[in-house]
Amino acid sequence: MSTRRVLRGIPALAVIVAAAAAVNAAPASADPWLNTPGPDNREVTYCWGNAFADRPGLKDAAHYAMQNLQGQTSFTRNFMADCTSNTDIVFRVTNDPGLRGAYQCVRVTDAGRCQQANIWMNPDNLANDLNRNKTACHEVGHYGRLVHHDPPYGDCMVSGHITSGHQHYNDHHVWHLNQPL
Amino acid sequence: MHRSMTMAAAGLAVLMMTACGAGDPPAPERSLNAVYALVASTGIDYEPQRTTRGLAARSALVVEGTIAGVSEGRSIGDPELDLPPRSTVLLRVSVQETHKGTRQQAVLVELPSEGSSAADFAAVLPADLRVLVYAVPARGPNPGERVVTVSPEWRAAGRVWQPTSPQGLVVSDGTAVLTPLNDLRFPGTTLAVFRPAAGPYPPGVPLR
Repeated sequence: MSTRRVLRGIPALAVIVAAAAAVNAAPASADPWLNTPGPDNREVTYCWGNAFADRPGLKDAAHYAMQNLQGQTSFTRNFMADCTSNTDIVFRVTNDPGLRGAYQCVRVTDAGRCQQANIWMNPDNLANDLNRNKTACHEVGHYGRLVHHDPPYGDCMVSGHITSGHQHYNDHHVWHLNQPL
Repeated sequence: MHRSMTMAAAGLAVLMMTACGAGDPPAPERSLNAVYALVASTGIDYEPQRTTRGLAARSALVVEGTIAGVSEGRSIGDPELDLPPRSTVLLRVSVQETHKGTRQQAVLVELPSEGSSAADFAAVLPADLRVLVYAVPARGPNPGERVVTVSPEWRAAGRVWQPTSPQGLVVSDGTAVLTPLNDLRFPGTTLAVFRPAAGPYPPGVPLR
């Protein structure tokens, strides 16, 4: 096939690519995905790692965040009394003074999906239920590959201390979370 | 219109041929984006400092220089959880300016490595990378964790440091500044505007 024939076909290809991009575009201003493997399934199991079970406030916040994920998106949640290598999210306590919370995928499937993740929460930097819930919601959002959203967006993907609100995902982030895995 | 579409299509073709070309996997790219890809796979919630002075006040050491090497750090695990231990690498920073703390020729800065090796890091660091670090002494394991392995470099060091917060690791290749631990890029800026005396901590844009 000559170069000219290849190039003649390109405009049509470009239109197809552009059309496909338009179909897949986010409904609002697009933001990137977090640079981490996405969840490997929509039935999310979670458990408490060491020290987390001794923190009632953190446990309540983690339950809240998982219930919120189930309520706002097509994910479902299932608490496991014991952590195994198949549990999707292990909630753990960190003492890193620079952190309120952190998410990290620690096991990846052959298909490049996150099989198991840690969510760390620092009780010393989470002053009340409002902030504990927000940070738990924030880290669970990272599990869904959400990135930070600075003000004026009112959802839980904002960084740092809050004094009201920020307990849920906004419509744009819900759209992200409901995309095919 | 037709001409511009044709040119755009030709550009697309070149891109596709480049992307789909056969052959060996490309060598690792030495770039800020590659550094980001290794470091920033963790999603963090933290208290952003709005001024560089504020970040310095929370830090015991603020140094600026170049990266003289990368080595393995520690692995830390939880014996009661069936989870892979988390691992770290050590950046050896050859210090050219000490903005806060005791003056030293070089310091070791510990970073989470997310399963990548020191060689992986060394392979992607741009040769002219400059680094500004706001640091605190490296802390011990989290509750329930134990240190599994400690590298000879870590053991031999008098002191190892960690970034004070995700804002505390600032790198630049001369064209942009990146704070890879919190996913932010600052196009067209230099490390100078991140120094402790600079004032406001510059607002960034998310990496894409």
